[in-house]
Amino acid sequence: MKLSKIFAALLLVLPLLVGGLAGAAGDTNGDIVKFSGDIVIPADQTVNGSVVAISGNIEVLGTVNGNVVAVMGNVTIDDSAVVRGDAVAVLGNLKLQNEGSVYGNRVAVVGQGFRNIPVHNWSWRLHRPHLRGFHFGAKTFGLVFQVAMTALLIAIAPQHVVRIKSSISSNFVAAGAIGLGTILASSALIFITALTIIGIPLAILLAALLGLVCLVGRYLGGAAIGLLIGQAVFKGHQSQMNAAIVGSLIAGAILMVPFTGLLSALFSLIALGGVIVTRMGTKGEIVNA
Amino acid sequence: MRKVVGIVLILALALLASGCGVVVIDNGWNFRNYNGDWTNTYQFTTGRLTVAGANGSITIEVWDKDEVRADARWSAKTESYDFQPVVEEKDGVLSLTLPKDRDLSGVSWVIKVPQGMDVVARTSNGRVDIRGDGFGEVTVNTSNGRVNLDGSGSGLLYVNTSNGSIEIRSWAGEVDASTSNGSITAWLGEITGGRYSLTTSNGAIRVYVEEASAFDLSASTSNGRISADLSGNWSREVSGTNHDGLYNGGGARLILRTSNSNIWLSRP
Repeated sequence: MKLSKIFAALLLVLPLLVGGLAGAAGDTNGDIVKFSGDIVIPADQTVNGSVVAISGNIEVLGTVNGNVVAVMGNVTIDDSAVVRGDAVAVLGNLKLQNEGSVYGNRVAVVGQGFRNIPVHNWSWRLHRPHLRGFHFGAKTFGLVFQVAMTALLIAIAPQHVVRIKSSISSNFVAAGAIGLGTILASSALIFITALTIIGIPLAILLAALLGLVCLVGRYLGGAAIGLLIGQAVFKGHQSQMNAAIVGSLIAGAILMVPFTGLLSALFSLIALGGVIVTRMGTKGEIVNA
Repeated sequence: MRKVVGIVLILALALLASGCGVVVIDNGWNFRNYNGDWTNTYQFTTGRLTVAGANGSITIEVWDKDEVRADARWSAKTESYDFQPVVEEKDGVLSLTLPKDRDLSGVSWVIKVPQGMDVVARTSNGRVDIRGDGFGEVTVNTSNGRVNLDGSGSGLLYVNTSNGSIEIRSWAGEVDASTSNGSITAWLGEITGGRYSLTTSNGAIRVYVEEASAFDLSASTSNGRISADLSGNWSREVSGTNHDGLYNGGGARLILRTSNSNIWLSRP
């Protein structure tokens, strides 16, 4: 899948992210991904693909021939439902009315009752004058966003993430060096370009481009590092989606510890290097976990 | 002199390391696994059988008796381990799952079932083999293991594995098979209706169908090519990396997806 296809997929997914998804009767072919909202699969509906909700609940009454994954949301599998893949709730509850309804693995990661924490408590922390609460809130938001992006990227471009992961795991020192080299070389190029008045617009463009590459590197590479950690933890016991989500949570939890800024920078450089070496995950070999 | 000092240092370090090893073993770090067998039979003739394994394979075969026979080969960390699977029979479902026990390292199953039974198999780090004719629905979820199906069934065949190939020798019902890193080979026979979805991220897809089949083909690969060796009527020539078209006027829905390999459609 080329990079343009990733963006095309993201554009296709965007309306689902912001808008509602009406559950229609009959068959739905392909994955259902939704951000900030609930998903209900009616009893007469069959989804041939996975169902992913980020910051939303999923209730399945029908049939899902794939995985059901909620990040910051509850998963409820009705008595009449059938889920042929895994049922996963990250920072949420997994409720099964009938144990036999889920044919795959059942995983609930952190946060029984997370959704019951009143939102105003978090915003109240954000508005408090002392920075400690702000930093905690911002870091928590960053962690949740990274996990959500990881789930999304694994759902829409798994092979890209796996390729970056393979590149990083084969030589993480080289990946880090390439990431650092890219930042230094780009910064030098931007500085030299900006020395001339004519070059200033070009320098701004280059800086924007570097920012974009770093942003993509952060999330694509972050998903790859999450997958690497998750697969190391589970030793292949879980699917890629579960491993990546848990790995991202572990990495995020480590980085929430005070004085881990250097580690965060190191993670970012390795992630960026992996993304550059694999041309955004489009080139390179895949090494099985 | 320096050489002698170096050798003495290495020997001292080796002695120190072996001493540490002795202490570690003495403190109860035990990496040995103990194996055992377990067998049982259930008077269960129709419905669904659910089997869960871990770090081991699952083989399910159809036989001519009206009962289910389950053989387990388990490995555990303690010599005196007493393997007892969690067995539940409820609402037409016979469920054989594993106890949540840290001492249990892995379980491989060989299950024999009567004809017409639905089967759900779930394991990790192990292959799954389904053999025999006359299954109902079959669902397989595994990771790091290949899936082989050498038999036939009438319901939906759902297969999901992470790092392993999938081979389907024959199947009469619909098929939904996906893997992350592995090839998919399927002999689907004559297909004229239903949905057949074969998806892999990194691996070739080979599909064998009878020339009298009729289907809507949706095939795509990013870094490979699509080719077909079927002499029926194609609505458009099969080539390139993406193809959407009809074969013999359309009928069944055949979806083939891979990223880094080729897709072949051929007669058996």
